[in-house]
Amino acid sequence: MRTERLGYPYLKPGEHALSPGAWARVTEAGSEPLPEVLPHWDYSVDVCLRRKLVVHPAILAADCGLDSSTVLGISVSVTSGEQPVRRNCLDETYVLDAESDRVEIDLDINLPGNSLQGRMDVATLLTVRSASSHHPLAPTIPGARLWEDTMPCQLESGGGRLGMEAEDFSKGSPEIAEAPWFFLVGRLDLQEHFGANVRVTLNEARSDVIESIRGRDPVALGFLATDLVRHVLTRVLDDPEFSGEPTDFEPDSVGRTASYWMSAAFPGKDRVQVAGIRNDQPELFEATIASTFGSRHDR
Amino acid sequence: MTVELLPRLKPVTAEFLWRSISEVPGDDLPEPKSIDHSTVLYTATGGTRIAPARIREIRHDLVEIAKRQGFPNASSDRQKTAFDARAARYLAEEAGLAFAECCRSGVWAYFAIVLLPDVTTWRFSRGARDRWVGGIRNTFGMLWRRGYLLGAAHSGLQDNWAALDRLTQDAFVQIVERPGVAGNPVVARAISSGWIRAADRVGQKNMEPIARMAIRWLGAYRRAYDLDSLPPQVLDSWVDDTFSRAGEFHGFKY
Repeated sequence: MRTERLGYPYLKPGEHALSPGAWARVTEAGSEPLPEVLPHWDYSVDVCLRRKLVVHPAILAADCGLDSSTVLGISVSVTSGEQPVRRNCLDETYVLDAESDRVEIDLDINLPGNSLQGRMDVATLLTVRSASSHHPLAPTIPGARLWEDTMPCQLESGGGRLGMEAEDFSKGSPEIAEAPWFFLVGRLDLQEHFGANVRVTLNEARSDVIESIRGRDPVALGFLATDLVRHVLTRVLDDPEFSGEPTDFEPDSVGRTASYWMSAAFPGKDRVQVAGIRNDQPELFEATIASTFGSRHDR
Repeated sequence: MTVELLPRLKPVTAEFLWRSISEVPGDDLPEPKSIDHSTVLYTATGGTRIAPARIREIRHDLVEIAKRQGFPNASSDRQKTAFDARAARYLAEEAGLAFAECCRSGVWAYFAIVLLPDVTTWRFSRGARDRWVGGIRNTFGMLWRRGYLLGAAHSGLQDNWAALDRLTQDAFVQIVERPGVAGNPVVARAISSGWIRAADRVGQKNMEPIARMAIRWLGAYRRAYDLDSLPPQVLDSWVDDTFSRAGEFHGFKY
């Protein structure tokens, strides 16, 4: 189970202070929940989204030690595409009434189709803009994050968070003509999006592999997962900036993904210890990863 | 308005093609025989493929920009910096490239490998893989990002090209290659302005470690404090305060 270990220097609201509704996609036909994969999208299709955020101001104020007249900010930003650029789509303010039980806030955004591609991440954020407070631990500094979530939605290239495609290797490089797959791995910048840095290409010339992967054969998937994890971990373990702590890295980043993998395969061990196993006992390093990620029990 | 679709390469194709290029003997590459390649692909629907004449025009314009800085002969760092500045403006503002297409790494792999391999070789070596294939450090993708984040007028932002003349190459790398912090154009410009103000106080030549520390601290602050939605004066204050403390850490009194 993943757990966040980031400690904030101020009080944050508990789970009862907000009730965020799911994003819905609004079309001429009505509205439906925004799926994780949006079919039939292209540049000509604008994406109109709506959600309702229910705030319980009295609870939020009590949890955070904030007084009425505190100004909160609600913003929505979108990141889309392999060149990571964040764009603000909505920015509103709301004056906190600490006596109020319930406030419903409707968020509506319209994303032009020609501004999107690949996968989009829609992030909603509640922050403090200016605070009035009686509590020494209240979030009074502008920008303090009170609550946030991110909804990913794949617009192109099918589902899944890991880029995967097929190509005939025999047309490219003769030395890998028979390889089952090829991992295209960038610089492995730890803060960059994992999917933008790591792509799996299956060899179209290997019909046995293609059929196994497409048929979701657990043995083949296990081999692929093991090989990928081993490849990525082997590389990041030499990066001094790789701490192995998921919260040191951006969500869905190379660093966070690799941290989760490392803690799953080598629980309780830090980067230096795992690197030591890789260097001194490479067979144990690889077998441990295979045992964790190549298991028959799918996850 | 229909989107003008740009040619792009699949990641593994870009990888294979780069490997072929990197094995060619010699220091430079001739002008490509064709702007097309059998493996080039386009987004299937939702726009119109760019006309070959337009692509040739883009190549022509970028080659002219490079020629003004000595291409195809070996050029100094100053000339290459000047090329970067002019090419960034061209790609982000003048070439008329669709934003969403520019967000595709495969487009920039096409630019580096198929359309302008001679210029890519001149600007960086053929062995510098990251400059050729897709990704944040691709030769032309990086320049487009620089222009979009820091210079071009869009989304209510004014153009900012004059200010960019003050930034060093290291400053550009620190800002543009840290999308976690500076992936929002408003924040990226605030950081670049803060860099300039800090450089005016401590001297440009002293800025490298200060900027590195300040931008890392801003990345850490961002985990608890959202910078993207701050009012401009508050954001500038955050940035200035961070640069000040980084400067003091490195022995500069403010």
